[in-house]
Amino acid sequence: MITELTDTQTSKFGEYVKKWIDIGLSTEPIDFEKSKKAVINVYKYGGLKPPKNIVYCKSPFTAILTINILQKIKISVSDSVSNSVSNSVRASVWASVNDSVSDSVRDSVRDSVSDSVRDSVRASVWASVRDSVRDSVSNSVSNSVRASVWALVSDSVWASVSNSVSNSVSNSVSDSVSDSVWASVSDSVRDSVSDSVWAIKFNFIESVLEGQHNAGFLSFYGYMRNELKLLKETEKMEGIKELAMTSGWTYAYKDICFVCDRHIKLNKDETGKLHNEGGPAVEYLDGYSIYAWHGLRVPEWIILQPELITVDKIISQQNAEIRRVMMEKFGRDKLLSLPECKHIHSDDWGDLYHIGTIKDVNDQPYAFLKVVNSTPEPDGHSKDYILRVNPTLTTAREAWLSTFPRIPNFTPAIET
Amino acid sequence: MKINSFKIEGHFRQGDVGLTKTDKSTKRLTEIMPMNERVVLALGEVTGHHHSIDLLKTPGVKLWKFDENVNILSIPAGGATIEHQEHGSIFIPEGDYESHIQIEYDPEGNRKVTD
Repeated sequence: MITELTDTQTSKFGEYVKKWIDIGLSTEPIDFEKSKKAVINVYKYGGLKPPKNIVYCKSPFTAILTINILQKIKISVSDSVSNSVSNSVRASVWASVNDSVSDSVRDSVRDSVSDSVRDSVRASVWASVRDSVRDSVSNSVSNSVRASVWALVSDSVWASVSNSVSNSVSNSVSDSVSDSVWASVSDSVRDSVSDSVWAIKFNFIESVLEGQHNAGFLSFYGYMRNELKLLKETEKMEGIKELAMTSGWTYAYKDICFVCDRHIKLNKDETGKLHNEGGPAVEYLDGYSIYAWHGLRVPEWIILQPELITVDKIISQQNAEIRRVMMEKFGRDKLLSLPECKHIHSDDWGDLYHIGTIKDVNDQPYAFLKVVNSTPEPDGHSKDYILRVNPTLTTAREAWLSTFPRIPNFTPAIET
Repeated sequence: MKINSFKIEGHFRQGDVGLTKTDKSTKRLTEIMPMNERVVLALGEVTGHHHSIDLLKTPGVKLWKFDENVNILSIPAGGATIEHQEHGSIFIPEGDYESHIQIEYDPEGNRKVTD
């Protein structure tokens, strides 16, 4: 068992961090022929026969729509509306699938392989490959060595790739697919199709191998393989590694596999968070884009048309983080100095304001408490948030207490 | 990290999650199962960020559903640390705590802060 690392081995940490962050954030176009070989190896090391079809898609969004079409989206609605709703959803989803899915998919794969996209192989790949490699490596390397490689190599890669990009892609595609289905059905049947939306979301998760975005754990096993010479122990990970080095996200089923191109653009701020002030933070070849402001995914219009941000839109935004970004882009000082924005009270717990021109259903003014995040940002500044509070409250402390109504006299000893 | 001068021991806050020490019984409560080896107190809808405790670092932490708005967090001997992607970590000593999500006023019914 390897119980400690040599100086030469530890000196290689930085090299692995850079290599795998570069792979994870690569915007190089896919080499589809190399990807196909990688897919075949993923299946082989997973103890599976190679898929009969390997389909190229320009983005994960296109891929998941295609997969759901091929699976003939199941919709649980009453018989009387079932067919029309089903057809409507299908038509809408197909309309969203662009030419990145080849004619052969539309014309032949659609009909001939719909059964083959039912059985995800992700779980068996993970069970055969990742779990067994993890166990083999654990038996060969002490806990302290594993912990230090993970802390000094993989954590950095994980933060740059998984936390920053992969999670945003995952959440964005999932939301976009849901929106696409929601948009195609009328209000009256929305409740009925919620099951199918969840099925789509589940499907999205259950079959995906994240390709280049698996860089986090692959940096760990890459180091174990190359620097500690655990060749046999990490052998089965080679297919997943090849896939990461050649491809974007990949959806793996028993007889068919969908390989996505990498993102073609990736913009981050100086702290490594997804960010672009004037365009998409992530963009794929088919135009599928993700907009983000210092790591927070936001609707496209907030980035492209910030002039449309109004006081009404800020205060009616229910998500506190998106509201914060809207306030930031509108201008905090500009908002607070508007004639209709009336300062009521301030103390250590925040600043209480009323917006006199905006009335709620009870003809009460809109009231908000401006609070400051207790954890400063890396650059030293602290984010401001606004929380809607009851307009009958007259002090900031009262307003603060109203946000934790079931903790009497809430006065946290420690806040972050 | 902000230390309040007139603090109340047993009260903690990390972003929109507030904790207060409790003697409520967890018997008959349903356990909220961990996600990926983490006990998750709250999950951001847009951010995907979570207030959570790593079970690999501190096994034995449990979370129980008390009602729609409150969970009970059981911290074993030795304490545990609540982590979050954007907020500083907070060490919580051994004990049982009510875990609350911050509330915003809405004329049609208060709602939890979402992020």
